[in-house]
Amino acid sequence: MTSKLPKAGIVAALVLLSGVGAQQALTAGKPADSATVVRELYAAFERGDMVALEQLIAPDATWTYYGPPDKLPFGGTRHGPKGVAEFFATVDETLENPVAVQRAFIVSGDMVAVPGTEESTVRKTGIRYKADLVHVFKVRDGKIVSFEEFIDSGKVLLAFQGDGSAGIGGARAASAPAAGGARRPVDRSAGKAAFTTCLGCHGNDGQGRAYMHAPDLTGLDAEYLARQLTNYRTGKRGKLDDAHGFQMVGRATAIPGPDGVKAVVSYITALPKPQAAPVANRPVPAAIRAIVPTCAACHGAAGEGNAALQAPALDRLDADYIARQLVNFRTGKRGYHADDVAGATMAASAQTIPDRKAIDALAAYYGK
Amino acid sequence: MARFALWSRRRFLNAAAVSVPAAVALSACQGFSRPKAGSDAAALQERIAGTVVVKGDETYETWREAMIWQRAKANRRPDMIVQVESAGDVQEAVRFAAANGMKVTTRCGGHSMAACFLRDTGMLIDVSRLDGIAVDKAAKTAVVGPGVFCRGLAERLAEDGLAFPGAHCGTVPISGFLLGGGVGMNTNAWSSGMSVFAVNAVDIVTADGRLLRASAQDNADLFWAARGGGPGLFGVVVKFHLQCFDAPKVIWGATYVFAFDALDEVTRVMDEVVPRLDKDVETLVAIAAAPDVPFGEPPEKRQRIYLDVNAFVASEAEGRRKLTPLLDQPLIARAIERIENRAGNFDRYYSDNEASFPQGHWMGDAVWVDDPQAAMAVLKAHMPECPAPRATPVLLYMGTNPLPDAACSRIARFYLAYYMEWDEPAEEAASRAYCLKVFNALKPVARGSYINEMDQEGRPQDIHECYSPQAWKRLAALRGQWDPKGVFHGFYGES
Repeated sequence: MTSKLPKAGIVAALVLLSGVGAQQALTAGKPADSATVVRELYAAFERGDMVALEQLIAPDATWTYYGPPDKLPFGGTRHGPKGVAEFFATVDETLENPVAVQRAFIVSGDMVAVPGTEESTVRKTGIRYKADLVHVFKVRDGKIVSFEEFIDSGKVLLAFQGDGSAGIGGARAASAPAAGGARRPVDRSAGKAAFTTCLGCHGNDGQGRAYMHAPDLTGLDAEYLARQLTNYRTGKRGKLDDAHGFQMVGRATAIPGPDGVKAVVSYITALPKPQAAPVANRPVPAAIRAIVPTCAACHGAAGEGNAALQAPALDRLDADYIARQLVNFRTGKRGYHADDVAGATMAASAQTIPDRKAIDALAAYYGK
Repeated sequence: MARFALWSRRRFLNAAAVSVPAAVALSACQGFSRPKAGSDAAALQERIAGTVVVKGDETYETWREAMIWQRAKANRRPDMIVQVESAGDVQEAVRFAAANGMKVTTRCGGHSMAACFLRDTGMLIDVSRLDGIAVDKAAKTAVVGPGVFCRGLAERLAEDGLAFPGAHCGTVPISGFLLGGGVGMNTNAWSSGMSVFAVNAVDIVTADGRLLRASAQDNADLFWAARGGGPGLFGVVVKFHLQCFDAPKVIWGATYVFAFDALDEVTRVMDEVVPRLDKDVETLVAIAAAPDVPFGEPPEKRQRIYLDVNAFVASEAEGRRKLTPLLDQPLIARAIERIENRAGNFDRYYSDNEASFPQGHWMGDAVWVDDPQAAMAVLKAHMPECPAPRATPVLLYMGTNPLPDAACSRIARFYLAYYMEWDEPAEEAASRAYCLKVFNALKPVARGSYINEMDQEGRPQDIHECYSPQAWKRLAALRGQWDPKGVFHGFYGES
């Protein structure tokens, strides 16, 4: 399964055909039957409701997409709700405009088989594929304990490898460019050139790389990105003891001039934007209930950011990065320069966070 | 505190004050453009997902400069730059080059001191977007894209309790580093002295555009060449199959800072004591300027000596034990600053080293030496006349492992590198001339050079000395066999 469901109508029809409202069945006290659980799962995708979705996954569930994991990023087996969430995050990072169709729900005891098709555009190559598949679910006590996706992963792989023969014609996503065959437009901008120095840490699509401690840059506003690059270039960020920030000083300084900064920022802000963290759907942990309104005053009610207040989006950043920056702000490694007004404001605010536990809770609440 | 923090802080302050000249008026160059319809470039662009840029494009100069990591930009201009998105793109690009009589070079991180990948003709293929790390924990192997940084590889492998002898600088991608042999971390214990001997296989695009696996079993002669052929390799490696090792539980270490007058004794200890340490103890010496002494003061006033030792071990107790023979030396009492009992890891190592070798204006040169005391005497004689504001010699003990049979065929007990760093373009020429003079003077004690860090621009006639005579000959013969039409550029200065 590599997508949210496309058309609400199809889901609604399927739910109606099943003769029972999925939501109703799930809240009725006793565990829902297998087909209802599976349908609710598809419905949760459709709503983009990761919280509801994760609740349908058993803690010991296995989630398998058959395909070579070193070549297809969502290939292999994942475990539990966290693994499933990571699966969808990976799908979202690598595919766009997915369209999935379920042809039937075939039930046999606790097993449900769903034959269908999936159609998506690979962000990296711009190739849109359509592949036949069967999803096989196993349900226990109202939760999914096993999911297997049998898909024509050979075709998917070719699309990932840039092999146009896997692409389909005439069914391109509305947002895809009209020219240039089944690809993104050729980008030879100065911004993409300068981004060459960024991608080893921040990822080819600016999506961040955990193993380089480098944050996701997508979805951050242009002013914030330019301000931070300039801070690094002018000694206002990236102290020697900022262990993962210092390396940005050289990289930012190597960007050719203020015009280069402008160019690379416009390249980054035009990159595809994976889904933000569903902050609004998350309960506020008790430990940070008193602090969150302070954050929200600048960063927005759901951490979406407010460029006018020079407050970046938090729901685009990963939790580790948020936690590290909060520590940096509190320990004089960020927001230390008088000319970094926004940073100094944040440094002062960060002092009011009581302890490391609260920092981690804030990071988990706002981050991806 | 960073390893060479005193020196680094000074550099950092300088960098903050330096204004950055804009290379071109970039604001006019934004947006999408395409190669002219019907042109050669357009024909290639049609077939690949990556980006094709040609001389004459308004953004060409920005692309060209972006290919070089550091801030000194070599003055050479290839006809075409192709930033690929996939191995398929590489195949298309190589076939295109072959069909159009263009000679190919490859870059990934652009860390080559000499920017040897930049030539005045032909096609430069940029493989930096080929990423990905797939780990097989049970087999202790990993399949890694050329664009992966050594620091990222270390972090990812650590999740599975594994490690690989990566470069000492974390933002160096694995590709060029490994292809040139790789003076990496803990290689004396892990990989016969050079990192490339922990490579089990490569996936390589050859001159005819085929994508082949090369290993001890498949295309063994191509594998022989890929292990050390470096910038003279006749192919583009798009994947590395690596042998990994059990991760050290701790990198137990210490750093001692000495006044310059301790140089002879430090070098003697490197020569006579360090080789007696266990193989998984890595020891290096760096000489760097103190921050509070102005440029122009003699070395004995300005330079400090940093002795840095790290044991890649399973416990603190083991680390303490392994460092003892060194720390028992009377020399240690002469330290004017020290960091002891450091329970380090790769993350910390890389953060510290980033501070020591920041992204500035650089050049350098390097030789293998068996007699570090004789080599250091040559350096010492030349240091007073060094025109570069910052110049750092590094001496690293390599071990005495026999090298497996591969293009990577030259090594000695010690690696001696000398890095020049400057701030203003006007300082470049004098720094280069000085460096060349020093390394010509080092020739009598040198046992060849390390291809990845030698001054290929200044000493192109010495490039063959990076290889044994037999390996140099075989590399040329294999080139004739695998690239009979000369699709790939030879070593710098050869084509």
